[in-house]
Amino acid sequence: MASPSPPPSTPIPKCPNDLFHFDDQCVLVEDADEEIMELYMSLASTSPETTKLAIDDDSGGLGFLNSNESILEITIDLTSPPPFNVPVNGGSVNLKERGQKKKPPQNRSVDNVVVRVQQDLGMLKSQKGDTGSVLWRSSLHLSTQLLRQSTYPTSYPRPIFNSDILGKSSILELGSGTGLLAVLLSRLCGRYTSSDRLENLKLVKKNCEINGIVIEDGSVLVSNIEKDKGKENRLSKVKSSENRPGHGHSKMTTIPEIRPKVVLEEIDWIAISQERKSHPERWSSSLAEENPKYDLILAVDCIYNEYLVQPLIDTLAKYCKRGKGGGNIVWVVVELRSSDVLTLFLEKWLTDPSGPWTIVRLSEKLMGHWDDKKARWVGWVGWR
Amino acid sequence: MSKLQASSVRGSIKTLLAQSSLETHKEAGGKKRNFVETIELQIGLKNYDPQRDKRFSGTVKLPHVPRPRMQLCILADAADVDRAKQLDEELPFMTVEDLKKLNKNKKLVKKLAQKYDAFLASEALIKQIPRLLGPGLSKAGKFPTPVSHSEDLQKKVTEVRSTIKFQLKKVLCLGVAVGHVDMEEDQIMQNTMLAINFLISLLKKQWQNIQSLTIKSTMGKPQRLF
Repeated sequence: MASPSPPPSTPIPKCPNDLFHFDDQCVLVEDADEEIMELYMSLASTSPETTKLAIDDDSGGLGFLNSNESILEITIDLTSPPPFNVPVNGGSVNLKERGQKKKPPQNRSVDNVVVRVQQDLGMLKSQKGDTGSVLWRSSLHLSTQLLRQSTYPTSYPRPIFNSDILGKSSILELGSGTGLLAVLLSRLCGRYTSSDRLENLKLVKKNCEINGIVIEDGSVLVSNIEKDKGKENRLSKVKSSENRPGHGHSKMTTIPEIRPKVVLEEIDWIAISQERKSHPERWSSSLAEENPKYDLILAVDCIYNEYLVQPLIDTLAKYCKRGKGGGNIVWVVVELRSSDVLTLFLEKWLTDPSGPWTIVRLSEKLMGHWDDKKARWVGWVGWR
Repeated sequence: MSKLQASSVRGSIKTLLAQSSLETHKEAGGKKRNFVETIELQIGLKNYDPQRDKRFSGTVKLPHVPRPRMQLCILADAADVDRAKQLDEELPFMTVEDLKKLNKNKKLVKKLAQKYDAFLASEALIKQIPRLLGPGLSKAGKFPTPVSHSEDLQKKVTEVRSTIKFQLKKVLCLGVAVGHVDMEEDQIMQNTMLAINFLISLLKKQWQNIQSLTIKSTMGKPQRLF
C-alpha cells in the first residue's frame, strides 16, 4: 500500500556485499512487534477473500500449489512487463496440468520457462507429514520475480539483485523442499547449494534431474528447461519435451552459457541447534572471523512453527559470517501466515547473542506482486 | 469434492433454529433466549501436530454478516473522525492524541484491545500506529484494518463484520461465528458451507485433517455436521 506520508525513518544501511539493491521504500527493522503489526495491517488493507472463492482451487489457503498431482508442470510466464512506471500487469504464473496449454498473448515478446516438479504426496499425507515434500507458492512467486528481473533488466531499473555480483555469487538455500529454486535460480548465480534434511534431498535431486540440472560435477548436455523466445513453434516444442523427459529441446543458442550446477548438502537445523546448546564455546569459535563460503544464505518459507524458529536462527548464525573481506548476508522470505510465529522469529533474530543483526525489509516494489495481487509475504535481508 | 451432504447440513440448521425459537425448555431441549444467539462453527482437527506443522491462518468474507453487533473502533485521523460521527450508527473512534495518552501502557492498550472486537485505522496512520500502541493489539490478534479516505466507511465496517478468521493456536480445536439465530436458514447455510470449504482449503491434508464439524448456538445443543 502506498502510504501517503511515511514518517522519516532511519536511513537504510548499505548491503555489505552489494548483492542487494535497497530502494527508498525499504525499512530498517528495529522492533519485532512494530514490524509485524505494520506488515499485517498492510496485509489487511487488501480485501479478504470474497465469496467468489473457488472451492476446488486449493491454491489459496495454506499456501501449497496443488496437493493432488504428484508431478506439476509449471509454466512461468515471463511476459515482458510494460515499460516501467506502469504497474506490472502482464505475466501470471499458470499452473496447469499437462496438455492443457493456452496460447499466450502474441503481441509482446514472450519468454517462458517450463519446469516440472515432482512432489512427494505420500510424505505429505502420511502421519509424519513433511511440509518440504510439496511445492509452496512463495517459492514460485519468488522465482518468477527474479527470473523476470533478470530477463528484462530494462523494465526493472531497480532489481532486487545486483546482477553482476549475483552471477559470481555462491548461494546456500536452507530448507530447499522440492528444489524448485535450485532448478530455476542455479543459472542466475555462480554456484548454488541446496540443503535440506537428508530425506528431502532425494526430492531435490530428482527434480534437478527431471529438469536437466547437473548435480555437483558434470556437464549439462540436455536441459529440460525450455527457454525460448515466443515464436510460433513454441507450443509444439513444449509438447515434445513433455513426451520425452530428458530429451526436450533446449535452445542453447539463446542462453549459451547456461551450465547450471547444484550442490546438495545435508543441513540439519536441529543438530546445529543442539550443538550450539551443548557446546557453546566450540560453537562460537566456529563463528570466528573466517571468510564466508557462501555469499547469500536463502531461506524461503521456512518459518511456520515455533519449534523450528530457534534452530533456524542458529543455522543462519552459523552460516552468516562477518569475515575480513566483507561478510555475507541472509535473505529470509516468508509468507504471512501465523503472526505469532513470525513475531517470535523476528524477536529472537533481533536479539540473538550471535548478533547484533541488521535487518532490512525489502520494499513491496522490489518483492513484486503475486499474479497482480498484493503479495502476502515479506522479504528480510539480514547480516551481522 | 465436498464430503458433506448439503441436505444434512440444512437439517442440522433447521434443528438448531427450531430449538432456539421454542417457547419453553421442556419440548425439545431448546428455548428462545432474551438475546440473539450467535451460531458458531466448531472444528476438531486430527492428524495435525500443532507443535510442528504449518500453522494456518486465513480470513474469509462471508456473504452475510454473522455478527451485526460486533463492536468496532476506528483509530482515526481528523477526516475519519468526522466520517465516523456521520454514520447512521456512530462508529467509536480514537484519535492519535487519544492513543498517545495511552503512553504505550500495556494495561491500557490491553484494555482497549478487549473493549472492541475489531479495529479499523485511517490509512495515513498505518506507520504510526505500531509505534503508538506497542504490541498490545497484535498480541490479541487484532491488527487494525486500514481504510482510505476514498473508501466508503460504512461498507468497510460491514466488510470487517462479515470477515471471519481461522487461526490455529496450540490446540486442535477452533471455532468461528458463522451466523445468528435471527438469520434466514438459507443465509446460515451459505455462510456455513463457505466457511467449511474455506477451512478445508487451509488444511494440509484437507478432509483427512477433520475430526469433527459441529454447529452450535450460544445456548443451544451442538449439532454434529461431520
